[in-house]
Amino acid sequence: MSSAARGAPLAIEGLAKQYGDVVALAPTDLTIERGEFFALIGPSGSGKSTLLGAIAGFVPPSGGRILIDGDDVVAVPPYRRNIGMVFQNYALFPHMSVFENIAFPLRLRKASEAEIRARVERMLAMVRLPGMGGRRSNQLSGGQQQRVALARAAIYDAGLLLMDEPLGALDKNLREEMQDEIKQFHRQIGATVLYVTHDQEEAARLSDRMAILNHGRLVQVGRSRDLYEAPRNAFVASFLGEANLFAVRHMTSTGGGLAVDTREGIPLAALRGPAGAINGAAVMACVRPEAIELARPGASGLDNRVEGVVDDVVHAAGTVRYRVRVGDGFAITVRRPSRLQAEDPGVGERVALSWRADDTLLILKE
Amino acid sequence: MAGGYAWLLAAPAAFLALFFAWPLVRVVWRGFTDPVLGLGNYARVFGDGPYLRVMLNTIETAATVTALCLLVAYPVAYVMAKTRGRWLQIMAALVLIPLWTSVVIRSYAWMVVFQRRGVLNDLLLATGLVDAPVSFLPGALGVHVGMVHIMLPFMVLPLLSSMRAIDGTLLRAAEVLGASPTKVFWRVFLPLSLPGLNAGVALVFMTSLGFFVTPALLGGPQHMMAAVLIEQQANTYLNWGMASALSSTLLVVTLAIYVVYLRVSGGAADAALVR
Ligand SMILES: Nc1ncnc2c1ncn2[C@@H]1O[C@H](COP(=O)(O)OP(=O)(O)O)[C@@H](O)[C@H]1O
Ligand SMILES: [Mg+2]
Repeated sequence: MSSAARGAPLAIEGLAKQYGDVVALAPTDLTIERGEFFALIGPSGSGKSTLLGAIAGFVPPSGGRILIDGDDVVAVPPYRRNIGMVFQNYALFPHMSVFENIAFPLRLRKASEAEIRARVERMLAMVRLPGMGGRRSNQLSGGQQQRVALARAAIYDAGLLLMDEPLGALDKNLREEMQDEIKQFHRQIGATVLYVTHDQEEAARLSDRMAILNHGRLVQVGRSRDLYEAPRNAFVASFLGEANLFAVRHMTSTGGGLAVDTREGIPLAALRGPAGAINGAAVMACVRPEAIELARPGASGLDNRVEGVVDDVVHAAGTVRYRVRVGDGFAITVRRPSRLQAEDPGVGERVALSWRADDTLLILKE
Repeated sequence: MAGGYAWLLAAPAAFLALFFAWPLVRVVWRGFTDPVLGLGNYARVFGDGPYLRVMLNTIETAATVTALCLLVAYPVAYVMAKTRGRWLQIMAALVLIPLWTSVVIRSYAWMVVFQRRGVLNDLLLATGLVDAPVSFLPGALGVHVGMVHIMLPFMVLPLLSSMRAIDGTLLRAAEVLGASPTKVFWRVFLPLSLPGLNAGVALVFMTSLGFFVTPALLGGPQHMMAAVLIEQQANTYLNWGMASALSSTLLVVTLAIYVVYLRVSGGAADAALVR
């Protein structure tokens, strides 16, 4: 089976949804390639489910177009869109066996009994539930139920699979196990996947590309690495990982760089100004915690240097997080790999922080 | 009964034994012994004559009333289940308020509607649909309408509770998977509302078997139901043996139908009633 041909490309043009005065989704453009695994992330209430619901067909959009494989489906009812969907609470039919749940879309499509049997059995094997067809869904664990939901969404070869926080109800270990399974499942079936999650790590693990939503607006689209290394604004910077943010007052060009004056009173050195900045737009400086080096006071450091007092030290699974107070009420977070027997600075000690100029990211405030 | 709380049941058990079980035993006993020991009363119940006909009419009426109730209540409950907020409160009030009025008064109200110079006949005459008043009373129409009216809330409420428990995501999932709204209803919504449907059917049918006031007022001799017949035997003819035999028969019929129904519905009715 040439799986790449199976996925359907998805294009969204000016898609918007309003509930009265509430803008659940501002006019949005987005293109997802054939067979791509695309993640949609954002905080709760940012419009992820609204966008997914509009594509699935049960949220009538206030405007815009949805093109699946080139065809505008806005006027097509959900049951004729031929989209697969997986829900957070699994949405398995409690009055049907596992087999009947998976067979449900095939029965609606009037497949023959023999074909249904063969395909459901094959699908059960694929989601590692062979021989479980006779069970009731409430006899399965959460992870097993979600695999049944996956099987049911994929069995009719839909070109586009929508998943709305499918692992949200599972505990952390199981979630990571299921992430690997979903990834592998995607490789096997080759469908285009639009995957909603509020967990940026999950999005990074699974997806080829992702989009970040905030207040019903697409803030940035790209690979996980691009978004982390070149966040468009302060929201993206702090939503993806941790960020030390400084409010920029004033920037002046120096030979081969920028001298930045900040409201926090800490002068910074940067290499490049913010991408896509318009005159007068508020700018912020972002420094990632792992870009910062820790040293004894007075030691020579990198382009950016600031001294402070350690406020808090947390050891967690391979990394040490320091909170260093520099000046009045402003603290910088530093993350270093945890090393055995190393002499870490303790709480109350004075330390010097330093980082390279190209680790000072200048970004838009909004 | 595990634990040390079994004694709490002593008082209710004694009460039930004294005022329910013992009279029941006496009734069953009397059916076989009054006026003489033997199966004489039962021979009359199941022999030629009006008794068997009344029994069959009772079952038939209860079945018709149940079917009509279901037909009316299902759409009502469906609309209520899809409604939220103020309109739901209004509809719930409309369903519940009739329960505050006694069955006797509601049955008399239907007499006012159906009698010779009643509301319905006035309407028919005024619109010229008939030339002379139609004789509705006594008759099956009045009994059916009156009983459906009285039993309707007992069908709506279990249906509504079952329907409101249906997860809307399941319906959306079915639709995305390819089910048209009609198919969503038949393959997902209806099966998931079955516990309430079974409970309502059991409740309405069994209550209808024992109905007294409405058939007594609206039914007349041509449309007599078991409870009316039993009352007549006891109070008018003072034939306690016959009244007892009829009561016992009605009880056995009710229990038998209930057991069969439980089997057919897979215990769902029971589960929904208990829930
Ligand atoms: N049916 C609705 N009626 C009114 N407002 C809604 C409705 N559904 C969603 N919203 C609003 O739209 C916004 C986006 O919601 P949603 O798409 O569910 O966010 P997310 O899935 O990212 O948590 C929220 O502010 C939410 O309150
Ligand atoms: Mg959501």
